[in-house]
Amino acid sequence: MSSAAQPAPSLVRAAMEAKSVEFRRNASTSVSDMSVWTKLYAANQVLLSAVSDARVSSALIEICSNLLGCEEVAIVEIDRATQAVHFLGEEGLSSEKRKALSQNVSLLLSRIGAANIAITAEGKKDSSGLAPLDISALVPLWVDVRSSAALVLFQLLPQRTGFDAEDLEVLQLLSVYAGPCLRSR
Amino acid sequence: MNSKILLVDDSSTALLMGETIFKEHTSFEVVTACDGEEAVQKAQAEKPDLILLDVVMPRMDGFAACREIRKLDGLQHVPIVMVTSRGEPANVEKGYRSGCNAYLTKPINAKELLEMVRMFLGHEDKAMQASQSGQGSGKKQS
Repeated sequence: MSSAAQPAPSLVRAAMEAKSVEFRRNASTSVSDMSVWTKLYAANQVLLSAVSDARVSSALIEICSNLLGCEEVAIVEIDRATQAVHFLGEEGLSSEKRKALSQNVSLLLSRIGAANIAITAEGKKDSSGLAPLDISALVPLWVDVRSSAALVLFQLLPQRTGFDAEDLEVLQLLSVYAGPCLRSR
Repeated sequence: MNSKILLVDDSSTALLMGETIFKEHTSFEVVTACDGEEAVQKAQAEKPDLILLDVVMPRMDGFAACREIRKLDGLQHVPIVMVTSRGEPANVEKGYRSGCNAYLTKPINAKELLEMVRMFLGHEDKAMQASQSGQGSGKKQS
């Protein structure tokens, strides 16, 4: 997650390009971990291309759908002064879920401020407070004096029972690069 | 000659992931299409040995594309694997009724995808080919 000092777009781009080389090399040489390296490479490359085309939000939604098995996604930015929730992108959300996000600003801000990925898992005790909102994961994207932002994943596809280790790697990648990519729009 | 795979998906993420898996770990030739109509055109022109077909796509969905491909000369028996997020029994059944041979659900797992393709086409691993032609130790070099 990025904080107040936003890295220059060229630095973010250079870091992501270096990551792509690393991920592709690992995807090529590792048989046992091929799947996770390929996912990381695809997610990183798609994000990188999306910056050039100014379509980062739709790229994030596509990554969540194809690599994480989640087709109910919101990318929200919360104005710190007005507490208003702006949807930078969304897919598959019911009006109830949109409303739940807008009505739980304090909870969202505290989770984003915690600066780590919040996961709610079926059958496990939820300490994040996000489970009642039907949120599967919240990925903080940035916090600064003006606003806070997050990628919010709701219900997973029926064939998925939860996030696995590969998913967590992809979510971690998004938590590092999705914010700067969105802000370079 | 290497086997040819037609990879069809409207998601650039899914296409990139599929292409990367096959390019890095096999010698299969990969051709891509972004929707059902393009899939039918590419299938006719390229005569692939196997088709990986997404279901939810613009212009023509995967079920319709599968039916159209089955009507094409020489493609009545080409293996078609539906790769989709729609894993519900009704959709799987619809896929088989459209003429597909197998079904994989998203999110894509590289190992599952390779296993499925190898089940139809056999192994065309880079490492195995290098080993058979005496070019190396069988370990892939990056």
